Amino acid sequence: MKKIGFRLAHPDILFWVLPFMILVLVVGTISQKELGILVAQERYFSSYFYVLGFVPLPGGLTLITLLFINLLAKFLFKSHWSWAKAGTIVAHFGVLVLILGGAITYFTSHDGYLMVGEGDTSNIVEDYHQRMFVVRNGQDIIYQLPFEQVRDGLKVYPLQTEFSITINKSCFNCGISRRAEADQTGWTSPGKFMQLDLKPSDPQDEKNMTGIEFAVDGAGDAMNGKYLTFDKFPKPPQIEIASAAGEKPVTYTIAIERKKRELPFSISLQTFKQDFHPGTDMARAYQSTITVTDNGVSWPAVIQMNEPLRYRGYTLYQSSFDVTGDKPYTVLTVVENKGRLFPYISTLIIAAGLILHLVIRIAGRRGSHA
Amino acid sequence: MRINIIILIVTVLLGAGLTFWLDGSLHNGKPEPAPSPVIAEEKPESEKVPDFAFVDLSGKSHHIKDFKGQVVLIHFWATWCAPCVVEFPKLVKLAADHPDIVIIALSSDVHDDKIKNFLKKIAVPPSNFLIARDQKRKITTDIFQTFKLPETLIVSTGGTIFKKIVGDADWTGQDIENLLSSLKQ
Amino acid sequence: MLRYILALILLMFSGMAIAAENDLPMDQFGKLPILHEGRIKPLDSFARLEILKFSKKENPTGVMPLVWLANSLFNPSEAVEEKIFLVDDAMTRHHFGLEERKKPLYSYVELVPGLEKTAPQVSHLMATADKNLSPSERNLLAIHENALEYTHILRSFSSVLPLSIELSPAWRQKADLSASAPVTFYALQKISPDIENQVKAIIKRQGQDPSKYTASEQELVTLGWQFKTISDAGNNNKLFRVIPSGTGQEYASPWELINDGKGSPATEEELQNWISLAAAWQKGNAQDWSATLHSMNHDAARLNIEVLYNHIAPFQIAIVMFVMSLCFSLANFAGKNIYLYRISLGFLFLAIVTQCAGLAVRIYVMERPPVGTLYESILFVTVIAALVALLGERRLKNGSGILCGAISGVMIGLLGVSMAGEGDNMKVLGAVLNTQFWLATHVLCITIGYGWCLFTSVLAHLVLVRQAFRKSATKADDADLIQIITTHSLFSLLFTTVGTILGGIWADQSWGRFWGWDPKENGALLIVLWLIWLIHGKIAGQISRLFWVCGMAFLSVIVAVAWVGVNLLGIGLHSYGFIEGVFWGLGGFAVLEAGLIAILAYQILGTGKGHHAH
Repeated sequence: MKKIGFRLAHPDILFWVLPFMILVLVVGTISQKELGILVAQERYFSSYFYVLGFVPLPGGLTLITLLFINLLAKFLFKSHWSWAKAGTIVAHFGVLVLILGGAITYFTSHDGYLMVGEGDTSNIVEDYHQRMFVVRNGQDIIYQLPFEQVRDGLKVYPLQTEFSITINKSCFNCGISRRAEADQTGWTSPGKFMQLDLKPSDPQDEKNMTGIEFAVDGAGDAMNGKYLTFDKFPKPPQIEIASAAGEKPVTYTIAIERKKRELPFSISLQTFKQDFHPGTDMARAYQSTITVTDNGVSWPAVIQMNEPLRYRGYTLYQSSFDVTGDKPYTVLTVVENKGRLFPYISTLIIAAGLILHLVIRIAGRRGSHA
Repeated sequence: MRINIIILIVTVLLGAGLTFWLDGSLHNGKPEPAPSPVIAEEKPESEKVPDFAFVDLSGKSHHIKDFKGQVVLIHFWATWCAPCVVEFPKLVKLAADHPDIVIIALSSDVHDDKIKNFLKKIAVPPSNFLIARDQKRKITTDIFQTFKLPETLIVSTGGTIFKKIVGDADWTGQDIENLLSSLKQ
Repeated sequence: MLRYILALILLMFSGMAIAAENDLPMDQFGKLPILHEGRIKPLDSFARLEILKFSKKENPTGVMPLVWLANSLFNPSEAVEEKIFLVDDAMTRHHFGLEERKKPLYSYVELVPGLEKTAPQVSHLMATADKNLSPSERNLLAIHENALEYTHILRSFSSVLPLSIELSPAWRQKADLSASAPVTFYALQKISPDIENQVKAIIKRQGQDPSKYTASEQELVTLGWQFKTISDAGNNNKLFRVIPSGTGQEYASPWELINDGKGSPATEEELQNWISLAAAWQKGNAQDWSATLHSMNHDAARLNIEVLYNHIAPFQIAIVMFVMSLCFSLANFAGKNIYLYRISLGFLFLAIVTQCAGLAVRIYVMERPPVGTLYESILFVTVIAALVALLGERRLKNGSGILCGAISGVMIGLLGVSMAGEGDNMKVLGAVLNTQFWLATHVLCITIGYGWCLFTSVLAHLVLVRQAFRKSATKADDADLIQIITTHSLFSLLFTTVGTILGGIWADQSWGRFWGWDPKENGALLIVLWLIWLIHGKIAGQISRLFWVCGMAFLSVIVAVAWVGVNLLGIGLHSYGFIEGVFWGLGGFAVLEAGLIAILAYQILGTGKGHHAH
């Protein structure tokens, strides 16, 4: 055990891990220009290995894990406290805490955005990236599937319904073109006149328009047919089914949307303001005045650039806005991250360790000179 | 070695504990002092309204000082200006609804006839709605530097220009009501 | 259309003889405030920026920028003849039909035919993405943009300057003009409704064909057309915002007073001052000129200081100081002399003081830490590297620290000059960067790290050079230097590491993620990893001492890539935009450094002077 520990603590591990880290950092950074930050991050930094040309190389996760094991072994087996070594041990310990915090962040953090118009209230956080295929009965979700799992030919039977949905075509990034006249039979509007085409994904994830073409069966002659829908489509297709003649029909909505979560409290937007540098259209500041309501208790708060609202483990940041419509909307980034304090703690430890090391080093030299 | 394990565990637990303590603490209901907004409230303009005199269409002379203590709307318009003509009846209605304010409509027209012909087509303005032709645009451009019509200045009871509205406005809307009632206090 | 514009400018009165305009005192004029690119700056800065933009020089025609500006504003019909537009692309000159000159400078008048000819091409180019443009096409676009901007300057006061338009006594009376008073747009707008009415009546009576009109009718229609054209040309003329309007920091251009309803009794007063200035300039009347300037409000200390800063150009002086220090320092190495040593130290000290003073002025003028843009960070890193060098010299006491400081100062200073670029380098910042505390802590910390790294790198070079060209190796001396480099590398590590993590904390505070793999963040991390690798490699005995020193010397390239190079990617939050030439400059620097270090290492190995750790 101790032998293995000593081997794992050997500095040559670090010496060989670092060049690979530098390599993945350089490759991953340069590739961002082509792939976009999101894809580059997944491919190089959050992966166990990646392929450069045809050479497989260790990815960011592998390297950081190796580094962590090396540091941990060193800290546990080879760090005997003494004045001469105190600074280095503390600094290394700080890095250890930093990586641990990073791991906690990696596993616990969620982010998304909350969009709310002036005078409105919301507690719905939408994911920035995760697209879902969703069937709703009114507001309730009765079926949902992450978009990655949607395949052509997939047939689903949503709960408590008699109809089935067959996916005919799915594209992560869709283009829209005119549907040929010969192909229009069986289609409902708007799919009758437009069709979705597969396009390569855009490096900027938000530019990808995710969509599906599907057929509905067993919903009655009036409702059976071919449909299409896509992300951010304002009027997703609806299936109306009356359980008995003359009764109020039940409306099912089939949509592609971002994964939604609910906050345990709600936000109402009082006002949204932006301030410009005089005489330009360059923004100097954005500011949302909101009311937070939790368990029947309400209080006012202001969120502005660089001054987020922190509450119950959630942090709400002013990230964007939309003032093109008849009333302004504010877009708040909502982040939940249990590891967020660790960078603060570890910076303090690392800085303290390095300063201690330098002080001991310089003082020691002075002493030896004297 | 044992001490190092303890240090590591204690630090991580401390960090985690602190996080959960912060996350778990509910708002106690007291409104905390909101962070100072970086965007300051809009300051109303407070320029003193310059002196000027005018003769209304009925031939009566007036001076702006005559209306001190009242909310005055100085409205620049002309019959050849399309948006002016559209909003004019709304201003007349505003004057009728608020007998305590004064509206001075200064026209940039060249002849009195044009104004008189136009007035025949709309409701008769109340007595607190004064219409005058601004000869040679002396008041409009020389004093107030107004070139684009319509434009309206709202003068407070203290005789300062409280607000300037460039272009047409919704004179029957709630915003104007609120503004006027705040000025009258 | 452009011909019309030119005709319009020529419409502006030029009958009066222009007195020697250079005689008028320009100091006070230069201190007048203008709202430009989101900041209130003195006219002096504005004039320099504009002329620099058009001609890449501050005085292409040998006159002060301010004199050129005043002439363009108040005497446009003469100013259009000034050769101020640099057309350095042969292809564009050919397209424009411009004659070849020793200095490719051309006047506005000379450009107009070419501008007209290429207008359709330009509207096509405007729709093309920037990266798909050839250098020649980019040049063409730039000339069009510059010409348009200059048009705005030329026409800034076309609303109030005298026009060479004849007005009949009857109209003069209607417009309230005395027989001798100059005809201006302001006077014309009084009679404009009347003119318009009459023109309408003429068209109704005589039809659309002007040849059927009587002489007086033609005159009237022409007047109406002239009025309308001047008025249309004033649309969007928002460049010269010098009239305080409304509350706070709002300023309006003379045309905005008319077109955007920004006029008020107060703006009228200010506008009258400008009209008097224009008249005084045209007549060359120094007394009126000074009296008017005196009555105008320019007591803002910030503006005065900025003008002083423009005149002194502290960062250029600092570079000269660094060069002097470098010279004396080298002389000191050639022949050890305490006076040479002291003089070099003195110059380094002066350079630092000058650089600090320049930075202090920038902080005062912009009211924020001096590290918002790449250029500013260069200025700041210069100071840091030089200060660290002084600190190092305290221990070295043999002039190596001064030499390193001077070298860093000259190199980074020159980088700064090349990065100052066109346009205002005192920019206002977007909302994300517009925060005091985090900008101060994170960016200061990381730039201190950069500065320290660069000094360490230069010191490592010095060690390499000494080892390579020394006949007898004195081990003790070397060991001491190596120790010093180790200490400085640790300081570099401290500041880059803490700065990098603080960057993460800033990101976490501002937009909710600690680490987003943004290129600039990765760049900072690259430096940290490089330093850790070298430091640990040496301690663990994985690399030789020579390799270690070489690695420390190569730190300069790593820093350059992390600091300047990542901006070339043009992505991420920190991107200041792609700067042409930087790519090749950076590549050249990296190759040069690699080559230099390799040659020195080879020399050391070849003569067996390298000291291996084991």
